[in-house]
Amino acid sequence: MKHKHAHAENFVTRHLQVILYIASALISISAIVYFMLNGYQNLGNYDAVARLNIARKITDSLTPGIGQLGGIWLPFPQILMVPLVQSEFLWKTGLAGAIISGTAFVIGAVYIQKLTFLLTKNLSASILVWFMFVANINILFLQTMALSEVFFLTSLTMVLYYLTKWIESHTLQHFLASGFFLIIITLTRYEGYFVLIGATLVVLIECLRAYRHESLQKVEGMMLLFLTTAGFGVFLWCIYGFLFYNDFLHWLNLYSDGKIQVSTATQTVSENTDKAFEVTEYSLATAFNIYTQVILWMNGKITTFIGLFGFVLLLGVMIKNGFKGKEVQKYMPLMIISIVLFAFLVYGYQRGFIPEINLPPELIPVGDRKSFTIYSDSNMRYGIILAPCILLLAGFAAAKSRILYVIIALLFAAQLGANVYKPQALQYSLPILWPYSTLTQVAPFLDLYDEGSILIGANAHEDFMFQTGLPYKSFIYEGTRDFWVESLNDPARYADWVIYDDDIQGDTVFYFMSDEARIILQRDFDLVYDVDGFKIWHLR
Amino acid sequence: MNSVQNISVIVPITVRNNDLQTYIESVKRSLAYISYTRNKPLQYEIIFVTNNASYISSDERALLQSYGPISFHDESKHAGDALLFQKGISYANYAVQIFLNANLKIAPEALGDAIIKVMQGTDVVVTISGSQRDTSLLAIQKNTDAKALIFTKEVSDSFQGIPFLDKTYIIEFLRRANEAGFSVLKYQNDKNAQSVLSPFAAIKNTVRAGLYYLSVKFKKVNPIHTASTENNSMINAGVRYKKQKFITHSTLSFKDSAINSFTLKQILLSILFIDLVLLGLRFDIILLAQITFAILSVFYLVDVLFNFFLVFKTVKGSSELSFSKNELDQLEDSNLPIYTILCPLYKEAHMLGHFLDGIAKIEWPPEKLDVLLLLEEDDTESIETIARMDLPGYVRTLVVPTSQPKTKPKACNYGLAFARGEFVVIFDAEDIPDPLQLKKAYLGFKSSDRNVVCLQAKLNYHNSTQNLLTRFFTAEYSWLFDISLPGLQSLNTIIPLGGTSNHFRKADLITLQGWDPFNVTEDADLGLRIYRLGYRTAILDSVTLEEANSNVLNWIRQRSRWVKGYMQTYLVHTRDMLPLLRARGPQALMLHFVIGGRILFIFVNPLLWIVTISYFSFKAIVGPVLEETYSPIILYTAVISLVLGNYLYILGYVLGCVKREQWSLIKYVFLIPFYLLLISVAGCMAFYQLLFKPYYWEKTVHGLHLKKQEEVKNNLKVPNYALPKFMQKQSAFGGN
Repeated sequence: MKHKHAHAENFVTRHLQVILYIASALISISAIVYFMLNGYQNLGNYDAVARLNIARKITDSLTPGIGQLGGIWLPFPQILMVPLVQSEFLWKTGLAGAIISGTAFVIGAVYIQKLTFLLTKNLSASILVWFMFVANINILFLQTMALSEVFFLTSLTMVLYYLTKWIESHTLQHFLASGFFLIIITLTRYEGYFVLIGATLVVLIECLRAYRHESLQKVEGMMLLFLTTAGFGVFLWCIYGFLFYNDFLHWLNLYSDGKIQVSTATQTVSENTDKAFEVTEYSLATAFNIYTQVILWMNGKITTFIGLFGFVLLLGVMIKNGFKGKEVQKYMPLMIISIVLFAFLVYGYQRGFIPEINLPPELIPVGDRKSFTIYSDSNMRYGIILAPCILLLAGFAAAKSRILYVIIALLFAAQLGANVYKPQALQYSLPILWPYSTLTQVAPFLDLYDEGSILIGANAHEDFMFQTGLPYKSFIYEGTRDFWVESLNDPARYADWVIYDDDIQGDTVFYFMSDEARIILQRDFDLVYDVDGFKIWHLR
Repeated sequence: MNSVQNISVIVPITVRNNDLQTYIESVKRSLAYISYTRNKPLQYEIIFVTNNASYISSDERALLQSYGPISFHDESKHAGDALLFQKGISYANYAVQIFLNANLKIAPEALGDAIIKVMQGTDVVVTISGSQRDTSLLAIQKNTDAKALIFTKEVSDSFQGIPFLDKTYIIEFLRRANEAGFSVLKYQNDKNAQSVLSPFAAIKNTVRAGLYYLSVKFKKVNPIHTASTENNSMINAGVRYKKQKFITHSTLSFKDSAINSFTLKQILLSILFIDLVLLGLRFDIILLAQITFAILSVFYLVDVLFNFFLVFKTVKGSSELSFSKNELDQLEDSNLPIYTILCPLYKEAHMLGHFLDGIAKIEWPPEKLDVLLLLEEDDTESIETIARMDLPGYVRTLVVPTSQPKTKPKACNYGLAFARGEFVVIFDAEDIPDPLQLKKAYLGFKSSDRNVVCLQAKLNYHNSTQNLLTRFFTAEYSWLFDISLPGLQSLNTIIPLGGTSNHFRKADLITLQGWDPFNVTEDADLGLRIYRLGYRTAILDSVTLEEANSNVLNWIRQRSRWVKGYMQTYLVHTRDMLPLLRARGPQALMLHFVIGGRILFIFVNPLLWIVTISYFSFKAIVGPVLEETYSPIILYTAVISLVLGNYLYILGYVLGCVKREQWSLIKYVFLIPFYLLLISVAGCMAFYQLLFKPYYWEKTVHGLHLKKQEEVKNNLKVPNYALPKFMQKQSAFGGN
């Protein structure tokens, strides 16, 4: 048995990996090209553009520096994009983000196959899972963009992979590798913090199981080593918060207080950027409902139910074995992290830590229907977070028997076919929600613009800034420290142009401009463009 | 006292002298006087050296040779007084040598008395005019009368090849002899003799003499090596320097030794550096601060990357030499060679039982074990205690004759000469080695290429949980031997050896010329010398347990010695980097991080922490100044170094404890920054000692874990910080 597995694994290692890398890369590139050629849909998401711009602003800004990373989003994907966005072409086409996300996609695809094989020792099941990953239209779409979801999926897969390896081998290398990828994941998305909690639980359980008879001090020591490694990402972000916001727990206070700062808020810590938007809280049942809905949307109903089936099956096996035995214990990371992640996602959404998700109203109970921001449509993508877990559980089910494998494969094929035939037939498609379009205000502005600094709120006008094609040194926005603060009191001090939209709730220029500043605006500036609330002022 | 009765008389002839016959008779009368006075016959030879063969005709030579054992040597006509002097010495065969100017007016008895002084033990005697009150070198140079120089062959051999100058060779000879620790006597002969010079001539003479004197006074005098007294051995070899005779039992050149802490080049560079700093302070303190922080930041960043690489390399896979039980069991006792264990002891008789217990557990055929206990001659307590003990047959004691420097490496050099084994290892008295260590080392040598001349076993502590200090100390050693050194090995670079458990082939150790007895971390020095000479050290997967210092004061003293030794090692091995770079390539530059960086950080870390804490605590006051000092790119570099550097350090310590399975220590690792502060304190002490007491060996008190608190207090005496070494008659050397 061992020999067969070793031989199979040898084959996988030597040949299949290369093939899968190449295939995944080709699929990734094809998707990127497709969505770019079809109206630059890779730039259709506001957050994606904002992330590209954050990376750009680190070097191209009135106040360049690491502080441009801001306080809302974890920085790792943006940091990786910094060298790429130095190229105007890669920046403006969004390819800088696509390259990062696409690379993560490829690695994630291969590793999800490796992990499935590691768990099930079933080559067919592992390839099926690989296919289910790369054929997920939403993942394919997301990996064309400068977003963090795909990066998160890959990091999660790596964490699961190395934790599983460690449980099998108990080698230091695997243990530390899992810690390393936890650093990555906790610098990628806040959901990574939940993964960290889950992983800590996994390590604790395994250490207690394996070492408590040796010595409890060994358990303690291993936990400390784990937390020293895995917790470094959180520590770094706390240090960042301290350096730039004078608050180690800036990230926690930010979300727990319901203050949603602008995505480009940087060193300026004042009421000029701290705007508390209404926090949306739900009942637990509604939060559960909403979150499961988006999981179904993003992963496909059939895939999700297969995954759920796999979960029940696995749980049954584990209970039957009394949670003992290496064959069962190696599934522990997957089980525990899946449960913890899901639980915290629902809880986080219920408490309002996680931004609102816009669902068709009929899915939301009447009492919980609140106003949504324009961003909440795209937040449906949060449902993809559990994709690796769902796919791995599906893989477990598929590996259980040949019949199950065939059924699952056919069901997935049916889902895929139906979606190709009629998008959203099974409520499984995201791309059509985010067409990229050129803002109508850009051309008129460029006609007017000769030179000079522009005071504008990046929170609401990130895409405008992006589409003008002007270097970011030209803009005075929330992240330009004293330039921003002083301009809101006296726009004439630094700015030659002032742009805002008084119809947009998140327009920080309009919202934070002092009364004196408005007087100066009237006195010293000409209103040269005013359409649908979008106003452009020019210094006389 | 010299017991020789043989004399060589060397006579330079630089002008025609028609009265050599009388001269020879006068010399023979002196020799007769000596023979009569000492009541012993003499053997002598008279050697004439001349720079003009025509000064003594062949007939004259034949006639003079009939008077006794007389030889004539003709040198080049360009040969001056100094060369004739050196040539004459080279022809001399006997133990007492006299350099006698043919114009010297001296009574035979007076000359004889002067010679007798040398026979009685004085190394050098120079005869000077009786009217000369001032017997300083300047006065000797001023005095134009002829002089006689009498000295032993040991003295003349020491100055072979040194280029003396004609006008100053006498005072230079005297100065060098004095600096080399030879006894020098200025013997006033004819008290009535006076040199008569005109006033103008006297002034001219004085000025000229003064200049010559200064040229000699400030001339660099290098140490002089003294040869071993036995063939094919380094026994009794040594060096003479700064008026002392050191018996090192090593032929290591002074250029590779810490006998000199600083070379002239290093002193000049230091002065230049200080001048630049002073200039900066005077004219633009901000610019000085900017440059300083920029350099430090870059250096720290490189060190961070280096540490990351070390950790990564170690975690990725161990490069230590490791052997399975099967491989070890396959060794046949009959095939094993003799293995020598050197154990230097000084006032550590109380540890001997513990040591012998550890040795008894070593798995090596007893008949092939050669344990040498190296005792100092003045350690009578240990000698007597051991004499009363019933020692196993494989244990020998060796009493190291008292000589300076009195250090552990000197004792080891001495012991090396008596080692019977093909392999040699050093253990300290408090060591508990892995019983299989010798076998592992033996296999290690067999399986490594010939370039590997040293195997370093890992060191750790058996009393790790005694108190907080021992916990820190143990964590540090775990990091060093389980993370840092294996990482260095994988980079094929410098490995500073640990204090014990270094295994060598005896022949290689002799090729390396043993240990430097002037370096208080002779192990680190040897590790670097191994690297410089193109050899390698490998880490052996075997552990020797030692006793961690559990008393803070004792720890600081021990650590100050280590830091001082590292400084000495760094200074010695950076004297000339070019040959090292040519021989070992750019990897040789790692010396600056492995040794130099460690030393630098000891002093700089506390300052940078003060700067960092001040910035956040007193931002309103110091913030603007510091912000001006740190340009953005340097600021990023510094912050990355601060955060990542400290993180990697702590992670490295944690990993070291994990590899050693010292689970209970891990939580204490997070307090390591306080421990590092303690190292900085020791560093300051080390720097002071480097300047004023470079060879002083801070003796570590061992066995603290065995004793009660009262006994601990009694053992710890307040160190006697004596005057700077050269201000006192007795050496500043401490015990081992």
